[in-house]
Amino acid sequence: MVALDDINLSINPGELFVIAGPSGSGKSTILRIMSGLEKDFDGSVAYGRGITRKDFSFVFQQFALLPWLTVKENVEIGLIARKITPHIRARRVMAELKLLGLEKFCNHYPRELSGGMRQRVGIARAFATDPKIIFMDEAFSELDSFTAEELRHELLDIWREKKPTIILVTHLVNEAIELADRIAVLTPRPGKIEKIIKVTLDRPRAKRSPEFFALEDKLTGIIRP
Amino acid sequence: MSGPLRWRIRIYQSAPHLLFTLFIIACPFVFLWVFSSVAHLTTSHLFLDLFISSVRLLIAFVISLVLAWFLAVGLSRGKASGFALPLFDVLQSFPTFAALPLATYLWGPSNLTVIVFLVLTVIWPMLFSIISSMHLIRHDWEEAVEISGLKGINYLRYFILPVTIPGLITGSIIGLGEGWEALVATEIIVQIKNGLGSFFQTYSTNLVITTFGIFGFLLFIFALNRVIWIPLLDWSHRRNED
Repeated sequence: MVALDDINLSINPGELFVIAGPSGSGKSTILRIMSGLEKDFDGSVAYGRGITRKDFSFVFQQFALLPWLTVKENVEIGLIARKITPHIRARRVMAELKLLGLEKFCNHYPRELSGGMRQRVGIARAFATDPKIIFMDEAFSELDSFTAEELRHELLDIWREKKPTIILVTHLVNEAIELADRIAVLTPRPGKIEKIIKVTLDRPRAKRSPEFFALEDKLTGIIRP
Repeated sequence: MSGPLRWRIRIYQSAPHLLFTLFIIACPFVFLWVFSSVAHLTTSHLFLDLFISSVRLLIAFVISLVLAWFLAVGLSRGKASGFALPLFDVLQSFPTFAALPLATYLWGPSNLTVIVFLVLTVIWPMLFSIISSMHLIRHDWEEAVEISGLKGINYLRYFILPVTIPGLITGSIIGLGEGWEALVATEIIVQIKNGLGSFFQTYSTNLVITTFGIFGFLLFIFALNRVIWIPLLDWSHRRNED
């Protein structure tokens, strides 16, 4: 069975690129292929000059925190893999935790945190290694709408400051419009890119503005013709 | 990293809990002391036999633990598992007591014979429990670790070791249970001069001493379980809870 057909994408450095589409359209599969987690596919993925897998981070839908490690240790894991000295590690971890308001919880275990806090740890872990590309797979879909909104704002703040390339997958049209520089709209069976839309609305984007609604209608129309 | 291996084990939740635990530890020793005095046995001999047998089992346990862990981690997944798992399954069903005459012939009634035999008994539950832990690793944990870039020793230390600890502890409990049983039987069959096997063989015609000896022995194993293994098992499950 073919999951994806004729996918051709080019993503710019520092761009916040969103892949949006309904369930079964293969958006997570594209993300996994691009991040190297999915190895069984036909085709090729080329990264910018000097970019290796060490420059990748991933934020998972269900957080994927290691339960036997504390918050601090979960964030630290990528730095250990990169053989960063303990002193620098501690400084970088604390900086990330502070950025996401987690410093008071650094010695807590994931099971002691709410869903929103866990995803904050997931985001802190992703940013801690100072990656060039961050892949986010439905990173806010397990959270309640208020927490998701708050986290999206925090993500945008950190992204503006650090400017990594972010490739985010979502099934929520308004989430895509709120965050994206460009949106690739996927349709299912087999998954293919129906259209790539550049979002030119100024940030922060007013979700109740006529332009936002118009774009929302346009995207919904593509997904559900 | 302060370290996932800086294990935060909180066994004693309160002063009464600690006192109860100390009571449990003291129980078998007090019982054996009283029993040896009443039965006119040399107390030091009885404790020495218990100590020697425990050390034999401890050595076999440590060897089994290391072997089982590396075998399970190395062979439970990937291409190797295709031949390793059926092979382990066949080997573990081999009746180990059948090899005892050969081991005795090769090494005589020695510590080596007892320890080798104990390893053959203890290793299987440990191996299969660790394999089971390996198979229960969550896919998203693996992907998170893959993306993080953890490799080699760090991969084993921060990921595989913590994830296999519940299996390791469960396997240890089962393995040691079988080990105690095999220990006494092996010491008797091999006719080694000291240890619990020798004690039970010496007093095999004295029903009272044998009965109280077995009771004291059971009390000792119960205390070990209550003080070490049950808290460790609770802790390991708690720490891997998501």
